[in-house]
Parts: sequence; structure tokens; C-alpha cells
Amino acid sequence: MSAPGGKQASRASDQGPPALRPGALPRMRPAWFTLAAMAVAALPLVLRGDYALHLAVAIGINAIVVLGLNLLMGYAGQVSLGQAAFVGIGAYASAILGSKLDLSPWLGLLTGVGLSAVVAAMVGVPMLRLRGHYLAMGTLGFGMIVHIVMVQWEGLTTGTTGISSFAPLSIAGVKLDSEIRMYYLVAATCLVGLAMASNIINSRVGRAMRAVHTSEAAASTSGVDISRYKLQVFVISAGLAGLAGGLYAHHAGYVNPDSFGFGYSIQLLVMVVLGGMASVWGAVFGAGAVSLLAEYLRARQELSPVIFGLVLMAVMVFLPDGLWRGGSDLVARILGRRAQAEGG
Amino acid sequence: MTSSALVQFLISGITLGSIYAMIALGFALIYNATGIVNFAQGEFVTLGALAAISLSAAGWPMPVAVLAAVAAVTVLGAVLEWGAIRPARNASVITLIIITVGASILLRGVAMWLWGPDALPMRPFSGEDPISLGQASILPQHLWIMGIVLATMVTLRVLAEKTQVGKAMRACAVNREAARLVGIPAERMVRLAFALSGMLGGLAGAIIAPLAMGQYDMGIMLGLKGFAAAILGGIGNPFGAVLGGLLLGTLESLGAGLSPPGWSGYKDATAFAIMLVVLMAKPTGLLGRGGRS
Amino acid sequence: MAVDSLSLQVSAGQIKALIGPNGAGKTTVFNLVTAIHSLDSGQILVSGARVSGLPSHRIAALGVARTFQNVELFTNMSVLENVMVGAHVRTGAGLASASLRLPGMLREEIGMAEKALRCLRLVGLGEVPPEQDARSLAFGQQRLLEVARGLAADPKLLLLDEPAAGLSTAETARLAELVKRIRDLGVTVLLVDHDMDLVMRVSDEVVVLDHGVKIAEGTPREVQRDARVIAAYLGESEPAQGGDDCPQPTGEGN
Repeated sequence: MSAPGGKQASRASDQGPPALRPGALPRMRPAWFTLAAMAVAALPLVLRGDYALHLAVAIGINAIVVLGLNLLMGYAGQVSLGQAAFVGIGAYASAILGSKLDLSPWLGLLTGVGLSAVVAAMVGVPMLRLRGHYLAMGTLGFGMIVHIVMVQWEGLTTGTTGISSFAPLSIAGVKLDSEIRMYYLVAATCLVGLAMASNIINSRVGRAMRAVHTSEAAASTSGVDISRYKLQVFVISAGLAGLAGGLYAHHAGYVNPDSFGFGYSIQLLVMVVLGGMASVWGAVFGAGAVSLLAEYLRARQELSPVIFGLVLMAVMVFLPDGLWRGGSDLVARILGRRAQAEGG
Repeated sequence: MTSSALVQFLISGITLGSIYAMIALGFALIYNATGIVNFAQGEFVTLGALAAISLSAAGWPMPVAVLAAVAAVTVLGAVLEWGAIRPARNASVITLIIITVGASILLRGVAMWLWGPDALPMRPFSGEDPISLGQASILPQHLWIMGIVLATMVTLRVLAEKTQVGKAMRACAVNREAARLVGIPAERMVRLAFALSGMLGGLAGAIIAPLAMGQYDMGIMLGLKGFAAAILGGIGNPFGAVLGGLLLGTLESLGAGLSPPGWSGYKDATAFAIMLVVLMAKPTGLLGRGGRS
Repeated sequence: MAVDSLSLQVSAGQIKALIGPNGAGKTTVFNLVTAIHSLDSGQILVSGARVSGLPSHRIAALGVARTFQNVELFTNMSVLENVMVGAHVRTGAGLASASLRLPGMLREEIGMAEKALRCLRLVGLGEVPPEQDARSLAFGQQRLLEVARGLAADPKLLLLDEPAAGLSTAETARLAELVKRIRDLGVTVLLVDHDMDLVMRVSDEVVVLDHGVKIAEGTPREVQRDARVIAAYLGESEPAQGGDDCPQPTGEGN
């Protein structure tokens, strides 16, 4: 090969004509997203009664948290056993600002998001130096401490009494105090979150995060600032959790420490892992599946945790990639076998 | 604080610490054998306590009731490994952790189903009259706890050093592949680790029940704090687990005693705050040597 | 001490090889240059700029890229995405433009993808479907993928850590051609390998390490003849060609 002249052509990566095929760059297909958006918009027509809508809103709120947790765990490869703390911070921000300062509910919501993000940034700097189990236990300890503070700092949070005297959200004078209105707000937020999460994953930032997950050495020597990206994704997940917390406060109309303890952190973890950590759709699916299962079992009080635990263990043993991936693999295998039988 | 009050807090601290030490050791054994954190450890404690309560209430002599309860939970530990861990042994660490989380939810549900949601009392092993030590007093049950825990630790230490099985387990903890190459059945060691953890947890529950009562959800906090103790001492190091447990119990008790009025509710946070400090400063703990990653 | 008092200079535009028996400290040198390990004393300069003490990602930004002895691919991404991570350091789209998928970010993405495709073609992976999972590649292809990733950063210096390990003779020959092509494009190459054939074929200069100390430096031919080098590899003194002072085999023994 003759020595090329000029600075331009001498760069290794400038050789040869480009040929980028469509589909080479991954991204969420707009068709699926539009379909999902339409289904979500039409759902209330199918669901009957406030109870079903209430459940749908709860699922949506969980899904927002799980989206963030999915980014953190499935894509960036970190772990958080204390995510409930950030949800709680968001919820209490809305509740306290709404009841004590009579601030606009939207401002309270935004403050909750900002506060969660700031706390995550402060905690994340020392915390994310840990890895694996140590990070898991660090986040767990953090979550437990936040919960204990929520219970004990009665001056701020009224402790276990809870707060309920805050104004509901309203858009253009219309109060969002019914299930259907909250549903559309939460659903829209969820869809936006889904789109943004997917956009982040299929971008330079997302690739950097995913690189950190598999090989920190290769990532850093390729120019990725590992600490910075770990912190970024941690803060994003906390912000999303804070947002969900604010929405939760307005949906339930009442905020109390019981909702933000270790049990909820574990439930969120289960949603992420059960749904499958390798896809944003899996995350949302996991939120739905676990919420529905928990709700179904709640009515059958006696054995509900037993069955929940059994289901959890069984799914992890037989479908370690989670329900979403495992389920689609299973479907693919069944269809493949049928095609073979027909063709053979 | 008066010296008698200090002694009082120390007594309860060491007692509590002994319990944490047993639980922490259970965590350490499983972590050494498998590299995973067993979130169901606390439930071993719960079931040991509740089983002992039922059996002694049914009229069984106390030593028999306790031994039977501990034996049952030991078997449970082995069954858990056989049923849930073994089939998934090639899965990722996070999957295995979730499986133990599922097991803990399951066992807690079983406990509530069999024993109901209320706290149940248990007769102390040898009477309720406190023994006075100067200005302070110590309950016979405190002595039982400290004595039993001490005896257990010494026995386990002897077994670890002197018996083939003990040496095999230690070998597995240091280097599993090498151990397997030398002919040590690593799989059996894993089951043994789970069984021993069950024994330790169940025993801890049975001996603390006369003081703390038994309740279906007592395992959550105890398990988490036991884990904090294991981290404090250095997870993967059995001595560390014991040291961490004693230290944590003492600090928690003294913290509660020394804290100004109105702040005693924060005592649960002590354990976690200590754990966070350890994680930030030296994640491998006081006696940690790095252990398995 | 893995590496002791090493003084190493690589001239721009050359291919230099670092060889030595196992444990000589070759990979450690790479780890020191890319700040995976920290330097106890001394300094490292790239084009006159001091890089020792900087974190790995800043060193990458200054134009140093590397491959790894045990292939370190991003197994959770496709072939194309792996190479695009290599271009991370030359691009700048952040969180905001990514989440909103702004046009500027999209333009940059397409640019990165096209550059990645060019790098893949350069290393000989042009026929591989770029959206294929990286971990499904054959071993030899995985090694090439790492090289492509390194090239996507437009490096001044490319460190190749045992690129020929595990490759067949034909693959090694193709690798030799690739290394020369890379040098011809203006990239300086520092190469570590055990495959003497490759080393002798492509290198302009060779440095020999033993137990962390430099014991020889020169052209491939000079180094091949160096008695200290032979001693280090064989463990006993023996000239390259036969001669009167050739030690006679004793009675028994192998």
C-alpha cells in the first residue's frame, strides 16, 4: 500500500468509503413504541372500574422506578438494594412541601426529583468505589438509614403518622385527583421515560455505561471515565425514583414510611431481575408482572408470601435471564420446533 | 452514666453481640463456600426460635425442644441448598441472591402461616431471677446465651482445625478449584455450609427467644444486622464474623444507652451506619483478607 | 518488582517489539503506560506530554490505544458497538442530547458508525455483519475486533498485547500485514508477543526484557544474536551457531 499523503488520509479510520446499512445501529423501533403508546392510551376503555385503574397507575409508578434501576443494574452493571429510599425522598418532598409550605405541587414534584438526584450524587461518590456485594450492602445500609430517619425525625415527617394534607397536582386548573387523570399523567411519564431510557442506551453515553459493565479496563483505556459514568447512571436512576415517589404521593394522597422500607427495595429488585435486565421493555414488564402477582396474592392473605417466594425462586431457577427474555426464548423455541415439524 | 448502668449495657451488648456473631458466622460460611450472600439467614433464626417455642410449649423438656428445633433448621438449610441453590449453581451471582431473597420471603410466609403474626413468649432456660453483680444484675438467660455461643464457637473451631471435614471446608474457602483437584467434593461442602448456617441461625433464634420473643418477621432486622456484623469483621473471615458480631452488639447497646433522650429510636441505624463507615474506609473489614470476589 | 529501571523509547512511525520470557514484565509495561497500574517512580511521556499519573481515560484521550492479552471485548454489545466505544474519546455527545436524540447527536452517531465500519474493514472484518454479537465471533476475529476498537480512537500509539496468541499461522501472517498497514497510516506500534516469527517480520526495533530489566535493544537480527538474550530464553550460555565452544552432551540426562 503506497504511503498516503496529507494528514487526512493518514488517519487509520479514514480509509475506504462508508457503507452504513440501516439496522446496523440499534435503537427501539418506532413501530413498537407507537403501538405501546396507543395500547396505553386505549387501556382505560377496556378496564372497568377505579380499582383496575388504580392498579394500572401503581404499575406505572413502579415501572418508572424500575426503568432507572434497569439502567443501573442491567446496563451499567451496578446494583442498588436501597432504591426505595430515593422513592421515599421524592414522595416526602412533595408531601412536606405541599403540606408545610403550601408550595405548588409541581414545584414539590420537581424538588423531589432534584433532591433525590443531589443525594444520589453525594452518596454515590464514595459508594460507587465499591463493587459487587460491597456495593449491594452499601446501598442497603443507605436505604435502611433513610428509612429509619423517615420514621424517627418526627418534626419533619411526622414519623409513622404520615402526611396527607397536601394539594393534588393540577394542569391548567384541572385537578388530577381521579384515577383516570392520574393514569394518563403516569402513563405519559412512563412512555417518555421508556423512550429516553432507550435513547440513552443506544447512544455514546449508553455504550460507555455498558462497556463499564463488561470490562472496566477496556472501557477506561478506550477513553471512558468510569467513575463519572457510574455516577451519572446512579443519579439518573435516583432521579427517576424521586419522580415516581412524587407521583406516588399524589396518587395515594398519603405518605408514610412503611411504603419505603427494605421490603419495597427488594420488591423493586425483584421486578428488575424477574423482568429481565437486558431490555427496557423487560423492566416495564417485570414491574407489571410482579405488581399484578402481589396484588392477586394479597387477596388470598394466608399463603401469599409463600407463593410469591416460590414463584420468585422457580422463575430464577428455570429462567435466569428473566421472564421477558426467557419467555421470548421459549416462544421462539416452540415456534422453531413447529416450523421444523411442518417443514420436515 | 453510672458504672452499674454501663455494666448493664455491656451485658446486654455482649449478649446481643453473641447472637449477631452466630448469624454473622452463618453468612460467612455460605459466602466462603459459594460467594453469595444468603438473604434467608435471618429466617433460620426466626424458625429456630418459633420451633423451640412450640416444642417447649407442647411440654417437651427444654434441652430437647431446643435441640430438636436446631436440628430441624439445620436440615432446612441443607434442603434449601438442595432445592434452590444447587439447581441454579451456574447462574449469575445476582440470580442466586434473588433466589435466596425468594427463599426468605417464602420462609417468612411459612412462619406467619404456621405461627400467626403475633409475638410468642418462651420460658427462659433456667428461671427468671436476676443474679446481682454489685449494682448491676444479669439474667440467667444472658449467661446461657453467652455460654452456648462460646461453646459453639470453640467446638466449631476445634472441628475446623482437627477434623478432615473441617480442613476440607477451609480448603474450599481458600481455593475451590484447587480443593476440587485434590479430591475434595466442593458440592458437598456447599451443602454442609448451608446446613451449618442453618444450625447457627436456628440456635441463635432458640436461645434469644426467651428474651426477645419469637415473631414471624424477627429475622429481617437480625439478618441484616448479622450481615452488617460480618462486613464489619470482614466477610469471608470466620473470626471476623464473631468479632464483628460482638463489636456491633456492644456498640449498638452502648449507643442506645448513651444517646440523649428522644434519640434512642435511632439505635437500629447504628448498625448500618457502622457498616457504611467500614465499607467506605476498609471494605474488607477489620480482619478481612479480601476473600472471594 | 515487576519492572525495574526500565528506560524505553519508541520513535514515531516505527514498529517496536517488546519481547522476553514469561514473567518478564511485558504486559506490566502496557499496564503502566495505560495507568491500569500506577507507577512507583519515573515518568511516561507521549509526544512530549507527560501521561504518568493521569487516569486511563485521559491517557486514551492523548492518543494511546491498546489491546489486551486476554481479549477484553464488550460482550454485551455488537461488533459495531464495540468499535464505536473506541471512538468514544473523539466524540462528545452527552446525556442531554442522547436522551432527546437531538440531530447533532444523530449526526455524530452516524459518523462514529461509519468510522467504525472503516476500521472493521481495515482489520479484515469487513464481511462480518456489524450487528452481530461480539461474543459470537471466532477467537481470531475477536482479536481483530480489539484492534479495530483501538484504531477507532485515531491513536498516535497503539499497544498490541500478544495479538498473535492463539492464532493460526495464516492468521498470524495476515496480522503481520495488518500491523504494517497500521504503521503505514502513521500510527506508532508497540508490540508484545511470543511469536518470534511475527516479531522478527514486522518490527523495526526489538527490546528484550528479562525479570523486569532491559537486557538488549536493537534490530531484530542484532537481538537474535545477542548472547544475553539467548541465555535469558534458554537459561544457559550458548551461541546461536554451532562452534568449538559448544557444550558437549554428557553421558545420560535429557
